[in-house]
Amino acid sequence: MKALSLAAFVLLAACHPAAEAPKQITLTSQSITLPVETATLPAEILSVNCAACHSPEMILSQPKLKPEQWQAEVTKMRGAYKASIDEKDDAKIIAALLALPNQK
Amino acid sequence: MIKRVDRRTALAIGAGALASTPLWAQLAKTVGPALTDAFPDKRGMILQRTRAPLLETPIDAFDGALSDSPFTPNDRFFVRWHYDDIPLSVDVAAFRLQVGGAVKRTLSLSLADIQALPHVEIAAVNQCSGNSRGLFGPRVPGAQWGNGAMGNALWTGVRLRDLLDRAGVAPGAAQVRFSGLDNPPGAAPDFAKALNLDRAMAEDTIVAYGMNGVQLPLLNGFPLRLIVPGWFSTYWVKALDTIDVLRAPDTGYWMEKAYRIPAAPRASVVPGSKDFPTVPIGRMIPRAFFTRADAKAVRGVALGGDAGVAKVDWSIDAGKSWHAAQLGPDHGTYSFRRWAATLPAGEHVVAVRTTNAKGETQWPDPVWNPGGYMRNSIETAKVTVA
Ligand code: HEC
Repeated sequence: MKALSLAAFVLLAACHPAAEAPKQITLTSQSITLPVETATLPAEILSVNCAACHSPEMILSQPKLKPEQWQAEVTKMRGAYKASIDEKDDAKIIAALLALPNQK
Repeated sequence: MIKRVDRRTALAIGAGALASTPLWAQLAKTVGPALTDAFPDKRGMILQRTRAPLLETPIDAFDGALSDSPFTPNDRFFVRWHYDDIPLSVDVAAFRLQVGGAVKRTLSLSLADIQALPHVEIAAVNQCSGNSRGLFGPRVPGAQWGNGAMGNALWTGVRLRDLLDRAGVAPGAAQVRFSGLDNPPGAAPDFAKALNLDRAMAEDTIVAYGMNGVQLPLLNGFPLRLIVPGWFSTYWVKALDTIDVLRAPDTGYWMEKAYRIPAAPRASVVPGSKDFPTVPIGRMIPRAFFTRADAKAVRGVALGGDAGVAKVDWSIDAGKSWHAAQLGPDHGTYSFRRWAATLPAGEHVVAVRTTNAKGETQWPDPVWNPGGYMRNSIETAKVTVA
């Protein structure tokens, strides 16, 4: 037991070329609260379909995308992340996305 | 070779009010939010997305004289989560790290068990795969990061191989997969990343419980985070609670579909290309950044990628001649290295480039790929020296 802890100490010391004793990092439980989101999507078809998994900045921050690029995003949300977006709504969603202020 | 300082580059290195606005808001000319202090244990961050949090470090938070610490304070360190169900509370007594899969004995380790093992410290840059995506041209979808989706910290923890050796890796193991306390929405795939066994067993791959000498902020992955020095942040799994040894390469979404780069040199393809061969993103490549470029100081930070920073050079004649910048103290292969340049009087467009210990360097022409990954073209700044 003694020998073991001595060996451990030597190992620890070896990692600290500076002569000071290794600083033990104390772990204490943590809890946080996140801020409420303030950004909003200007069209209902978007707030209904696109706000469940991420806040609106994910969409509002995108560079100007072509209709086919937006379609690829909607298809990706459905395929990769299993979003329940009705394919019948795609045309309306793409139109609303293209009408966003930073997309014009 | 370096033709001009485009507006976006100028903005990316700008200080003050402009730098506090996310790149996307700057480009859209909207009135951007001020730096946010709204997130717990964070201050002065660029808000990219509230949920799941994406917080960027403003470039001036990295600034300092050559002799200043090159470590990024924990409360300015960038934040990047994929799914909105992230751990908001962790009880250190209840927490367990599970090690299983192709091992001789599964382990369920408490934080005390882990802290009882020999510990190591390593300085390493943590850089998001999509760092600087907002600077791509043509633009690409995804988080529109400027250059601040990165940070440098002194990580304290235990070697991953010490944990794997305790579990006993079974013969035939190929990869090790990691996942954390965050949960996907609905039926979306769990966020998990895998390393080949040799990378997992490398002596500098660690499971960290310390970041700059204290426990990690929850937003940076408390209580345990995988540290893969020299590799992009996508592998640095936060709130790590599950390690699985696999007999075959991981086929999960986050390895097979996401975070892939062109197999082509410099991970670059002709803009708009589709259906080219890809590989999972992995190691980082050299970069130099300006943290300040004005009449009083031209300086910044450099990273070597998966080899140390050998030198940083600057040029004021569009790359015809290069001059060695002064370097700050060396904190190890994977750390930021501070650099500073003393320019002659005049009005300059100054370019800066890093060369690493393997001789890899930076090029003036930017790369392009649809994911917005691996940007490391030479940065430039406009400066007038009196
Ligand atoms: C089922 C959950 C879900 C829904 C619903 C959803 N998304 Fe997403 N979305 C995601 C996830 C997960 C990401 C990746 C987040 C990350 O990497 O941080 C993402 C990312 C994005 C991105 C960034 C680019 C990318 O491909 O990663 C865009 C743009 C986007 N979503 C648009 C939309 C739009 C538009 C809608 C509505 C039509 C929508 N999303 C609905 C889950 C969802």
